[in-house]
Amino acid sequence: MKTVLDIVMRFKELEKAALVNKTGYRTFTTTYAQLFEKVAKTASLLERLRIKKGDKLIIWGYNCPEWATVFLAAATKGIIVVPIDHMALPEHVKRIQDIVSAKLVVHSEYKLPRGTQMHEIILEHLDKLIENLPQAHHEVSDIDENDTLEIVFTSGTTGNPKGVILSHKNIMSNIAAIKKCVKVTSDQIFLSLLPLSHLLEQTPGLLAPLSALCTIVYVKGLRPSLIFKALAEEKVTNIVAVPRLLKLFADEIMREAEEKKISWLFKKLAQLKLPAGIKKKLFWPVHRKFGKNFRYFIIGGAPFSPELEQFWDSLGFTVVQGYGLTECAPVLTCNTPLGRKPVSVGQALPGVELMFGKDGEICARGENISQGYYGDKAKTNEAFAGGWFKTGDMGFADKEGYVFLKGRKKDMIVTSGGENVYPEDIEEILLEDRNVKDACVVGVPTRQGEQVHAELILKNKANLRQIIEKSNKLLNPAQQIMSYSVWHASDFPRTTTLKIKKHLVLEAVLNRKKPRGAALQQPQSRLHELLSRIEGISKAAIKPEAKLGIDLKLTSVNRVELVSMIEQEFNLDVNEEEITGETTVSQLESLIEKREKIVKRRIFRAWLLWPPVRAIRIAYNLAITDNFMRIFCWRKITGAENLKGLKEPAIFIANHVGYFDAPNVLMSLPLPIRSKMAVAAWQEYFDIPKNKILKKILYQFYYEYASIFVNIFPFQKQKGFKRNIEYAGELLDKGWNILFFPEGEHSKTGKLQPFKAGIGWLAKEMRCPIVPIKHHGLEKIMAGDEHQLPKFGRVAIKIGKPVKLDYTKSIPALTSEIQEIIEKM
Amino acid sequence: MSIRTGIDLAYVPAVRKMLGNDKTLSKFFHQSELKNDPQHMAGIIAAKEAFFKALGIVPKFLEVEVVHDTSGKPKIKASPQLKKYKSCDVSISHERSYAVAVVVMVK
Repeated sequence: MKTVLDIVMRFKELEKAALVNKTGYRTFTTTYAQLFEKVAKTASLLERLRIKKGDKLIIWGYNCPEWATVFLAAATKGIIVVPIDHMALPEHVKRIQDIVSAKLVVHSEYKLPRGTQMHEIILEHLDKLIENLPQAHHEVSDIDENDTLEIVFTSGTTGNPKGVILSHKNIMSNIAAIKKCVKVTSDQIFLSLLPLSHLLEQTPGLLAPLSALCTIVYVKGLRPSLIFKALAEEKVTNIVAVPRLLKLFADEIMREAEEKKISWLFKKLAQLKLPAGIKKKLFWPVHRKFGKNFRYFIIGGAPFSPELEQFWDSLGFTVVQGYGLTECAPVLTCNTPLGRKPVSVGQALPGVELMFGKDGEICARGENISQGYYGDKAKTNEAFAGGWFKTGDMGFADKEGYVFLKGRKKDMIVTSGGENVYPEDIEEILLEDRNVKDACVVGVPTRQGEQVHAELILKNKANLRQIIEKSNKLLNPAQQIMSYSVWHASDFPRTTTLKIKKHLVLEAVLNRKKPRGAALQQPQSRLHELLSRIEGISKAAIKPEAKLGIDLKLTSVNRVELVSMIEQEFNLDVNEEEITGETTVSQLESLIEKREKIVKRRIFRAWLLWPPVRAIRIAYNLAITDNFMRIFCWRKITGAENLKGLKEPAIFIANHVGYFDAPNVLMSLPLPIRSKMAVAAWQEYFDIPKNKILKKILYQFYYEYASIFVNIFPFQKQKGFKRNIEYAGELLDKGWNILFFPEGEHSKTGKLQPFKAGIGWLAKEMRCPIVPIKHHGLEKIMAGDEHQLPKFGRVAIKIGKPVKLDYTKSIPALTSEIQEIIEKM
Repeated sequence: MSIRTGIDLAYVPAVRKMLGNDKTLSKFFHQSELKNDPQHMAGIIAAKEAFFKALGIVPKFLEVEVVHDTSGKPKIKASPQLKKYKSCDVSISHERSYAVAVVVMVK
């Protein structure tokens, strides 16, 4: 395969899962055949927008199947992709646009690109846009391997980004080389966590797997709970990650161990030297989190501390470390699952030549090396000399060719004594201190040379001077830390691959008026920091007892902003409705500390879906419930033929007057649909205050009865709204239908009440067909909330045609649309 | 006949700060309401707040949508359950760092 087009041509008509998208509510799978069609249709869309070969296209958004689709569509038409990190701000996008003059920017929702003369397409709306387009035609000869595939601007830990030009050949040769090193087989399932704008995700995490017809799973965000859910549900075999991600996982594991008070046991067991097989059995609770099918991690992108490597090794996990740069498409060296050396980044890939220049600078040559930087001859000449690419990293290779890295040339500190000092070595020592959460060492320029300076983030109150003194004892004379202080924020500024932006740290250090010495620094709580970012807040007022509304004077807009900040900062899901003006700062702190406490009280009962329970339910309903209903209701059903074409699970909606609605509607549906139906019920109805004991017992009985025989699941009106939608999504993913009453309560008059927004949310997030049902006559038989005797009467049940709504519309628009559909029936 | 009113003042620079943060924006606006104009967006927030003030309930920003007709006049689209009052009218204005909106509902 010579070009990306060759990769795509293999997808045609292949019925295998290619991309799995876990939105947080539902899981949508795209097969290779479907992906081929979507790529072809997207190429057609680009044609219509008159984007031609050689034009540039910016992609600025979160990882999702649409990102891959647009990338592939552009690649197959010779349109040059300029991927931009989803975390980039509009100003950055404008800066890039000023350099490349892209004709089109494809971005995620809620991004506001600034730049003139660009068409815009929203990633999430792609499917809707290409729905009715024809598939573009492709000739393999359209693309030559030397054509430019993309221009990738390196995020740069040291400042100004440069646009790396990469051809199809660069990428394809890297893919081929990787495959010679590490087996990539179609039974592998990759979890994509790194941003697709980064080569580390693109080549090993997207294009190599696609070229081998593997499956790739996308999740929304980096929340540990969603990640572990994806790992378990999708039987993931591999993850491409950066060391920082492994550190976050490690922290999460240790945190859980501490919660269960077994962290001491953990550490003891980790120290034992055991074969990998036994380690896996010993630490099975951890392995279980990653799923039975998990094979190994592939990491790169930043230095991997030996300590972290040790941690994962002691738990029995395989981590395959590699090394590369964007300019190398990107992999230069890689360990293999069976041939690994600790601390080493592996041997050079086949086809890649390495040479160690002055100071041990690694230089590389091969088909994967870029031709240069876009529009910057000077920088290109600097980096590419005599056919070799100068990586700017220092290292050496042992006898067997295993490469070991020493540090980045640009980060290297040259002291007044003329000594070369690598910050990473010093940071490693500092991180060994129990009180140090994170450390960043930079060289502060002085008249004689650079001075070693350490910025620390502390875990607890600690004596800074003691920490530095202790570390200095372990460092050699040239490495001595001469100045130090505590970093003012809770984390260092980072790139999206979580590398520290050292130039920003240095800038901040230099801009300080007085060097702070060994003062006793109490780490400011992260929440305090977030609060002080909100406009208009008086910092002095931030105290534990302070109420958000009265004391801190947060408006409802501020509160929503704060919730959003907390969600992003701590990677949590916060229920906005729980945060009101009365919430205090300390309540917020404890909410954050408890993090995502797994809801101990399992509201959703999985056993209700089991086949034996289903069988009992159907038997009971057919025998007893149905006949009971027949006594009171003489039914006439119309529209049953509308359900014939229904091939996927759907949400059935109906008007609501009383307790007989659900049984009557269910009776009118064909058995295959009826036997896989869950009914949404108003949770709060069953919550009776403790003082009314008899009523409480009675309603508890109702709840159990309804759960088993009607298969209700609770839909909370007040709290945990998101959880309802998540569960609805799970049901639909499992092939179950849902019966939902949009009015939310019984209509006392029989007239259709205004719909609540719940159905709008469901329509938007579930993206399944909606079947409208309207019944007449039940209002005379059994209506309202009171316990009464049913009357006798006729019932007309109309089943409407299933509709698939446009999920790109807003929630109020969708809710109104659905209301109109039922009203018109 | 009963009338309810709501009014709100929004600070444009605060909204301008939000524009780079898609997660925060997604809590207040619908994709259709987005515009690269902080004053315009501040006006929309003010309109939404004013709407909920008139109703007397805690704001649920995503349950209303502010749309503009061809002449530029804003209108509020809300899920039916919020439209308890038969007619609802909104007016928005902005000047330098502030945007203000007033909502009047008549039963």
